[in-house]
Amino acid sequence: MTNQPRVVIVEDDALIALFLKGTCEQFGSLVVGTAADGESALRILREEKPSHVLMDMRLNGSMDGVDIGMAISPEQPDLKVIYVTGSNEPATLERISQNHPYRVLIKPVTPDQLKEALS
Amino acid sequence: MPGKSLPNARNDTSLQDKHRDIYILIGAVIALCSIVLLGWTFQFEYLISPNSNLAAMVPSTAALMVGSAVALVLTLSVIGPQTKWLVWTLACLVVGLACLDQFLHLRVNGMGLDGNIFEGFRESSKQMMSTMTAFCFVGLGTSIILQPSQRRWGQCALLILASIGFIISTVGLLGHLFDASAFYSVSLFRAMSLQTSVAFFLMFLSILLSRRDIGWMKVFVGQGPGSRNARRLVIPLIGIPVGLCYTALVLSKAGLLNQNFSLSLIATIMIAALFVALLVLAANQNRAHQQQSALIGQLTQTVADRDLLLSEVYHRVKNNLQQINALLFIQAQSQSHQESKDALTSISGRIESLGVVQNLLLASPTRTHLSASDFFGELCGRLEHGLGGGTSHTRLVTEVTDRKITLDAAITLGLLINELVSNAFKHAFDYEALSPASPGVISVLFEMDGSHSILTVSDNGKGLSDFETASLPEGGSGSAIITALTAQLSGNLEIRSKNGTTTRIRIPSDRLEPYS
Repeated sequence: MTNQPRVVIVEDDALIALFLKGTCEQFGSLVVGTAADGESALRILREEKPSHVLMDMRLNGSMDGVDIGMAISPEQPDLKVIYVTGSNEPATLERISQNHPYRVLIKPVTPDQLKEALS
Repeated sequence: MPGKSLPNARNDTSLQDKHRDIYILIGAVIALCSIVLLGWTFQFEYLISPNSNLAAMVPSTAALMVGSAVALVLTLSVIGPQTKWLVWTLACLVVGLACLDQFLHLRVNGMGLDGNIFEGFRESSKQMMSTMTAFCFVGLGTSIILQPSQRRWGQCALLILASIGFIISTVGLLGHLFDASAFYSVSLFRAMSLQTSVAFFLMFLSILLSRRDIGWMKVFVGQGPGSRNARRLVIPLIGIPVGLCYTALVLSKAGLLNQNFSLSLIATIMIAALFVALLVLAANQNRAHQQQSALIGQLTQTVADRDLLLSEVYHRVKNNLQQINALLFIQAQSQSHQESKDALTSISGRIESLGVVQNLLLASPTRTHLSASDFFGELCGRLEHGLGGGTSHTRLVTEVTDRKITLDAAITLGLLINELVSNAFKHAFDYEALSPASPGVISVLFEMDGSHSILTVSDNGKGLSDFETASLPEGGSGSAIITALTAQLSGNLEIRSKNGTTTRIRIPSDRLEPYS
């Protein structure tokens, strides 16, 4: 399974994190870690070096999803950052676009959208 | 015709109240002219002119003034077909007789109307209708005819004539105040008496006050702060120059002040007075601008706060929908029966329809209504993707007449479409029989039909039964939801099963559109 996506989930809502984890695994991805705040997200991303990260925008702590994406992208240029956000307001989308995301999924996210993003 | 009101009658009591101050002014004019006419009739010199140095108001002037006053009262109180001709006759008579007076005086025998009518009436330089008086009567008569005008040109002409008359009569009043003999030395004003000046002043003021809805009088009597300020400044603006000039005149006459120097002094003080008025206006304008800026700042902040709060609420709603979907997913994972899993998945689909409304709402500039085209496109795109459209030789096509629909309507229509389209994907086709050459097509049509909107979901599948007209299957949760939502929109549901299944819901458009 060399092409199996290795996924890190950054989401501060435990239920949604559980849903994302279950769905990823259902589609054959390997979830290598989950984080609810910026610091632990960066630590796990640096340790695991995953192929994909599902990134929520609003998180616990001072960093938001784009802060983490901007911090990790120069270190891991091949990392595919998939933003999962509840806000599709122009201002939020503009901020996300600064990190050149792989995909932007708007909540509520369906399993099919996730499958497509990870394929 | 008894019992039938005149088409243009303006005789309601509110109108009488509105013109009360004008009637007082006109009453004063009639009283003044009546006194003069009484003086002429009984030769009471004191009533004709209280001072022998002053010019007298001649009988023709007094009579024309009373005629004008009556015409104006008639115009203001009742103007209908029956009285309009009377007003026009009176006004035209005033204009015509004033012109005739000047014609007789200047072109015929050097005497005006009074000299030609009254035997023994000796017209002198102080007992005749002046040219300016005749001119004012022409303006006054025309103004009375134009008073009710609703046309723009008529209102402009009225304003110009009445304003000129008002200025001329003011010149007459001030001329008498300062130096009557000097005033009479101006040929145009020769013999314009004090009473005539007062009467014209009151008449033109009445006409201007009767049309407070136009021109400078509208600004002067208005309710705004600028108008209040103008009214506050008018007394000093009139009083200071008049008082100064009068004082300078008295002092000059007494030899206490050089006449030329007094002119310089008056000019300087008047400039100062006008400059102060200008500064007061500027200060008021600055204060109003500051208040306006502060208010705009507060409103901008309030709107920003409201937007932030609303975004937060919508964000929370979407997060909750995602949480509910997560719970359903977790529950579905633990189910061993496929039927239970399918039931939970279909609930998830319904919740997703609500999510689409929230997404579009956040992107919409108004947040109270949505574009039907955007909403149907987004929802059907998701449905097609989620239900396997495109991958199993099935297609979902939409055709929408774009318009604004309310948030509530969007939610209800979204749930209806979700049920009908999901149903079609699940039950309409024998998937083994489909191929790229003969795909399964589900179409969603939203169109207008007069005052109604029609939502049609149809497929080219196997149909419900052999009968042409079918009904919703009883007992299913989907059927219950479709029936309830159709009733909520006061809609009428019709199902046909021929060459596939067609569900048609006819909804009154006012149940869907904003501000209904």
